[in-house]
Amino acid sequence: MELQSMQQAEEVGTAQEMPLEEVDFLPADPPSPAARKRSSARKGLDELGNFAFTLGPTLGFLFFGAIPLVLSIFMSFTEMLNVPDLSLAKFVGLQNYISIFKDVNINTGVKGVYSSAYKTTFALLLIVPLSLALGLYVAQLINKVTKGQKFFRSVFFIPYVCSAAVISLSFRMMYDYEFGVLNDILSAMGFAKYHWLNGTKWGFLMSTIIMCVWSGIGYTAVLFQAALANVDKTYYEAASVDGASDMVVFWRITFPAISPTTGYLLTMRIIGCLQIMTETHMLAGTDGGYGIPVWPGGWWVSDTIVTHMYNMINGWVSSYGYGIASACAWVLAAVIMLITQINFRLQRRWVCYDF
Amino acid sequence: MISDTFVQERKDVCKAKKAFKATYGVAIPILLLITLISGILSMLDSAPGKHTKLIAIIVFAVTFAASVALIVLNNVFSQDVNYKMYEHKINRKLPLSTYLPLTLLTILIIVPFYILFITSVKKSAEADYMDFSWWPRQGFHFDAYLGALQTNLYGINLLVSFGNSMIYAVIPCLVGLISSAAAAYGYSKLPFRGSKFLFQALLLTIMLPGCVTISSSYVLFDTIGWLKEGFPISLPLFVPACFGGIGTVMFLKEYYAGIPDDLIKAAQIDGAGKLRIFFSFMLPLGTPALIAQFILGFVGRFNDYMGPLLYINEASQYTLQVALRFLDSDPNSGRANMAAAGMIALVPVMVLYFIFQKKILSGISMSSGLKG
Repeated sequence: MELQSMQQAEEVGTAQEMPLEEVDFLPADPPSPAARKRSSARKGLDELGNFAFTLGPTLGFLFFGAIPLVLSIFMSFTEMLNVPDLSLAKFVGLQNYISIFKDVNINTGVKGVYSSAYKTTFALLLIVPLSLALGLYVAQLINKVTKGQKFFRSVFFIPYVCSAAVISLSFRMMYDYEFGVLNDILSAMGFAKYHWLNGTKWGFLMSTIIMCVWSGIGYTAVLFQAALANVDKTYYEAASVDGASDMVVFWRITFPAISPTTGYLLTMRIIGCLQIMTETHMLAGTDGGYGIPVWPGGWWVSDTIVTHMYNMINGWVSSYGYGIASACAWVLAAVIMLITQINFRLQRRWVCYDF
Repeated sequence: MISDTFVQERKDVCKAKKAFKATYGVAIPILLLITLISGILSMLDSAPGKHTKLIAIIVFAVTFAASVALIVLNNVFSQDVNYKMYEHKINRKLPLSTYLPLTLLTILIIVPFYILFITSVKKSAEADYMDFSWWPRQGFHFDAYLGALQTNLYGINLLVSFGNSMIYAVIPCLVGLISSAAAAYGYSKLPFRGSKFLFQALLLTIMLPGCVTISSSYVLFDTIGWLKEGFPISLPLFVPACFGGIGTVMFLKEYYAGIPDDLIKAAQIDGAGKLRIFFSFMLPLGTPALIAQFILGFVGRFNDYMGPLLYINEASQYTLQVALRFLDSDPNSGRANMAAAGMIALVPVMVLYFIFQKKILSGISMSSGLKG
């Protein structure tokens, strides 16, 4: 990537240019030892000035990234119930992790982690292949079209730019039992109306998946189309001169050529799908609102993992506590990092970067 | 030498492939429909037969796998290169097999937005109590917009939330952009000991998933005292973004590395200091990249849902997305009003998108770090 090329450019340099490091913001070293001592002190000050430019993001990370990180490691071993007060934290060791793995909260007896993990994994397994395959399909179509390419690309990208809240609002109206479009179409075709949102929890999950795939097609299509457009046409011409069949052309030329994009999208979509929160939260709504009744199990029937963690913090149900939320977050982070590592290892086999 | 029979063979193969494509084009929607229906049937509890649910599950799995496979195969058979090589651009009709699926998919993408729009221009009685219709039966009425702007449930006002959203999106983005640009300038043009190490160490921090700091950030802000009532602006939403982000620094650093050093040395010779060079050279020269990053950052922060949900407790400080959610939860808010509120929430992002389309799209592909 560009980092490596910059280092290479520094090494090679050009014939007459001096690399920037040798040109100080000060005049050259004066001969006398006292003056040399003065200028090396100034050089140190100069480096400090250079460092000062980079302070902004570094400080931001230190205060709002590193400190919460360390704090959350610490918090995951404590029990903080109902009040986010650090002075009231009780050190309990691995109890939080144990209650997560046993899926029973020791203090309140409310389950939820495993069911939300199942739901999130199910959503992941459906969303990622579908959105990647459909995105690739759309990208192929856009790539072949000469006239309306920019128009189609910008239309497909619209759902990515819109907020998930507004999209969920619109889909909630579409999924409504009595007045929604989908049930309207279903009943016109003769089927029974379907409880999209207030039926079983798997029905709700399927509705969420449909919405996530719908909004995910655009992003994947745009990235795939950019990658497809960058494939060298000479490969295709050579293949057709050699009389290659389409299957061979796809698996030997197109797929390896776009494999960096595929690998990147796969990684990003998996990480993103494991942390879905907005869509389910907005789609579930609260009791009321177009007459959707309260869930029999309460809030957490429709939850994904992150929604569950948020419920733990904000106490929409009986609040578990902030310690368990941190422990749950770390388990999720460990799973995500594990999956990403496996992903990267596997990608070394099928991703060709030098096409 | 390419013989005539060879060309004829290629033409026959291409015709056969077009027939294949036509059947695929028809088969894929049917398969997807069967998948959807069997998926729905498999979830109904009150199914007629004893084994209906099991059969539906099996059918769903099979048709799901088949549709994914067919979609991939359709990609495979989209390699039209042979056809183009030997037909020499005669008979250049609009290829229906390309435009038809594209148009259908475009309609599919537009439909939810259209429904939002149509619901917002219906009369509230029609939107709430009459069956869904694609065109308003009682004509276009814009009362819903007035009603949405005037709602004051739980102390939430749409205009105030809109203003809050804009404040939390625009100002931290701008300040953070300048901070990130300064850091990018420092990392790319100003050497100091440990600069490469520091940059790569900061890059590693992106690897950690974002969910880890939800709970502890909340506790941290509460301990600092930023979550107390009575602050005019919610500080946890405002301040962290003002420091700049590593992704922006990375993007801008690559951009600044492309600025030739001669320019900077010339300014140095004329006596400009580092700060002067930053404000007079780096910021103006980096304007395209800065605009791209600002737009992406603005869109991200304007559409952010979880942050405001976590950190804001007062109704008067809710941002637009959270306000939408709470207004939606009230059973008395009519469907038309909610749709109008949704349309209002879409407006700034849509306007920005249509003006800056090119920059957004190129910024997205560039920030993914891949070619093109």
